[in-house]
Amino acid sequence: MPGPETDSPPEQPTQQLHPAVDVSELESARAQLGRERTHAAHTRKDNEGITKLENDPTKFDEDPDSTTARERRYWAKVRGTTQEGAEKLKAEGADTEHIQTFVRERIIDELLQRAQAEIEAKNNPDTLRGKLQAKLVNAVRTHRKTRIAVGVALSLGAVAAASTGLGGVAIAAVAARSGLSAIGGYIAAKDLQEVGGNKFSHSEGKWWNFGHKGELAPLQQEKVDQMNADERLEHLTRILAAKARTTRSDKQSEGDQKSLDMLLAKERADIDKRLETQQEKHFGANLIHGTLRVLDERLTQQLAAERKQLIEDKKIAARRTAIATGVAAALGTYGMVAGITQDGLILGRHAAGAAHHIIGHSGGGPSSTEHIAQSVSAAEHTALKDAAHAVHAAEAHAGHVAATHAASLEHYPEIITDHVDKGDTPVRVAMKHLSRIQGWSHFNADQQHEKIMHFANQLTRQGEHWRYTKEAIKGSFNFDHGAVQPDHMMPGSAHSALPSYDHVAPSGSEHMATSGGGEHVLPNGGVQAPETHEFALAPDSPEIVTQPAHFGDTALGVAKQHLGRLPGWSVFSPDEQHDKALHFANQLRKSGDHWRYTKEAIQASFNFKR
Amino acid sequence: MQFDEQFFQDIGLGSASDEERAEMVNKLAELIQSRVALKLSEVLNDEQLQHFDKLIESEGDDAAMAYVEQTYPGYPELLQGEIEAVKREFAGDVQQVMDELKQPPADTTD
Repeated sequence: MPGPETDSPPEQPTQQLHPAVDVSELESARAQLGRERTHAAHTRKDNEGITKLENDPTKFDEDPDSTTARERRYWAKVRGTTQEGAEKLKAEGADTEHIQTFVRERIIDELLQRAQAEIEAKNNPDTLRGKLQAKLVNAVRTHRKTRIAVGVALSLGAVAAASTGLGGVAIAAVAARSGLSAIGGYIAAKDLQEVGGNKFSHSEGKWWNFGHKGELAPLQQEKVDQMNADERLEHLTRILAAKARTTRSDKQSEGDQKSLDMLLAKERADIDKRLETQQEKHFGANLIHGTLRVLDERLTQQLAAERKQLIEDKKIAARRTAIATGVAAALGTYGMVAGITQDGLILGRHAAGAAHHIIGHSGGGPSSTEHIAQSVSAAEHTALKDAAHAVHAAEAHAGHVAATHAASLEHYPEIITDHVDKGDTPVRVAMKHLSRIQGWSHFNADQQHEKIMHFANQLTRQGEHWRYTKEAIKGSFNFDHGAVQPDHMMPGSAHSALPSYDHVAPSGSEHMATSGGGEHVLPNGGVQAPETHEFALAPDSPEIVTQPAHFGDTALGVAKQHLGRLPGWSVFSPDEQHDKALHFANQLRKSGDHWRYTKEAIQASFNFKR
Repeated sequence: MQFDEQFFQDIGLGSASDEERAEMVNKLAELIQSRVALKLSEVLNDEQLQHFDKLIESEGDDAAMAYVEQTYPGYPELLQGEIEAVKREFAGDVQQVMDELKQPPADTTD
C-alpha cells in the first residue's frame, strides 16, 4: 500500500532564532554596523588625507589672490610692524602700559584706515549709485545723533538706545544724557579746530564764533540754571577755548573759573539726577572727569606755549622799538623835506606825531619806556628843528620850486586822480603814481625805491584820500633820505642839479624812433643825449633786465616795472606807455618768464609803437 | 547687553586710564559707524538711495536718517553685530601682538 500523500512542500530547514532576538533589531544593528564601518573608512580616508596634507603644507594655502588671503597678509603685516614698534619701545625701556597703549592706537588706527579704504573702494564715485552710497555713508558717519548713539552704546551698553538714536526718536534718557555730556562733549571739544578767532566743528559742520578776548562775561547762576545741556556744553567749550586761545587777565580768569564751576556743578547735578544706576553714575562721571582732565592738560600745554610766545613778543617789541626809532628819524627827515612847502612846519609836527604814534604802538616793556620817550623826544626835536631849518633854508627856492611843481602837476592831473586797480598794494599805488611824473626816470633805482616807499607809507598812514592831494605826490617825489638838497628835489627846477625837462614832446631823435622820434629838450635848449635805448640796455645797467618783479605781479605789472625803469620812459605819453607795457606783457605771456630777462624783450617793447 | 566695565576688560582696556578709554571709545565709535554706514549703503536699493538723497537735500540729515531707520528696521541688529565684530577684531589683534611680545626670543643656535 502507498504511503499517505501530502500537498505540503517538503520542509526546508529553517534557521532557528533565539526566541529573545527580534529580527528588526538585528537589521538595525546590521545597518548601524555598516554605518560605523563606512564612517571608519571615511575617517581613515580623512586621516590619510590630513596626514598627506600635513606633510605638504602648501596644500593648505588658499588662493593667494583671494580677498581673505589678502586681508590675512595685510593684517599679518600690520601686526608685524606694530610688533616691531612695540619691541622698539620695550627695548627703550617703556613700561607695559605704554606699549599697550601704542599697540592699541596702532591697531585701531589701522582698522579705521581699512574701513575708510573699504568705503572708498566700494562707493565708486563714477557711478550714480556710488555717489549716492557715498552720500549716505557720509551722512550716517557725521550724523551727530547717530554718532552720540554709537558712543553711548559703547560706553553704557544701551544698544537699544543707540538704535532709536538713529532716528532721534527716543534716545534713552540716561544713555543720551551721559552720552551727550561725556562722549559728545569730548568729541565736540576734540573736533573743534581753531581758525583765527573762530572754531570749526567738524562733527557739526559749522563755525562757532568764540568772540574776542574780553567778550566772555562771567555767567550768572540764574542763566546757568536756564541753559539746556547743549547750551551748557557750548559755553563750557567756549570758556575753555577762550582760556586756551588768549591771555586772560586775573579778573577774567576769576570770572572764567566761576562760570566753569557753575557749569560743571550743574552738569554733575544733572547727571546725578539722570544716571539711574550706581555703575552708570560711576562710569559716566569717570568719563567726564577724564574728558576734563584731557582738556586741562591741553590748556596747560597751550598756556605754557603762550607764555613762551609772550617772552618772544617782548623781544620783538624791543626790536620794534629800535625800528620805530629809525622810523622816527626817517620821519624827522620827512618833516625836514616837507619844510620846503609853506606848511612844512606843520607837516614836520605831524611827522613827529606819527613817529610818536608808531613808537607808541610798538609795544615794549617798562624798561624800554624811557628809551622810547627819549627817542620820541629826539625825533620830535629833530623833526621840528629840521622842518624849521628846511623852511628857512628853502626860503630862497620855495617860491620857484612850488610854482614849478604846481605847474607840473596841473599839466598832469591824472597823476593824482588816476584810478588804480583793485587789490593794488600801497607800494603799487605809489609806483603807479610816481612813475607818471615827468623826470621820474632820472632817479636811480634806490632813489625811486625810497620815494615809492615814502609814498606808500604815507598812504598807509594817512588814508586813501591822501594820494589825491598834490602834496602827497610832491612830498614823496621830493623825498630824499639823504641830506637836504633842495636843488635835487624837483626836476623842473632851474636850480636842479639833475637834468630837468620841460613838457616837450619827443620829436625827431634818431635814438628815440619808437617814441615818436623826440629829443629830450632841456629848458636851456640842449639835448639830453644819453637817454637812448642803447644807454638803457648797456651792460652797466643789468638791473634793468634782471630786476625781479614782485610775487603775484600780473604780466602787465611786470611790464610796467621793467619798462618804467628805463631812462626816457617818462617822455612817452600815458597811452604810449600803456601800449608798450601791453606789448611787453603779451610777449611775456606768449614766450614765458625767461623772456623778460632778455634785452631784446625790453628793447622790442620799449620801441613798440602802435 | 552691557558694554560697561566688562567691555573694556574684554578689549584689553581694563587698566587703561579714563582718558585713554574716552579716546578709544571715540575711535571705536567712528569705526563702527563707518562700517555700519557702509553696510547700510549696500543694502539699500537704488530707489531708496535716491529717496534718501532727496530727503537730505530738501529736509536735512535728521529726516533722511529717519527714513533709513524706517526702511531698514534691522539697524539695531546690524549695529550690535558690528560692535561685536569690532570688539573681537580689535581685542584679538591687540592680544596677539602683546602675546608675541611676551614670548622669549627664539633660540637661534644651531
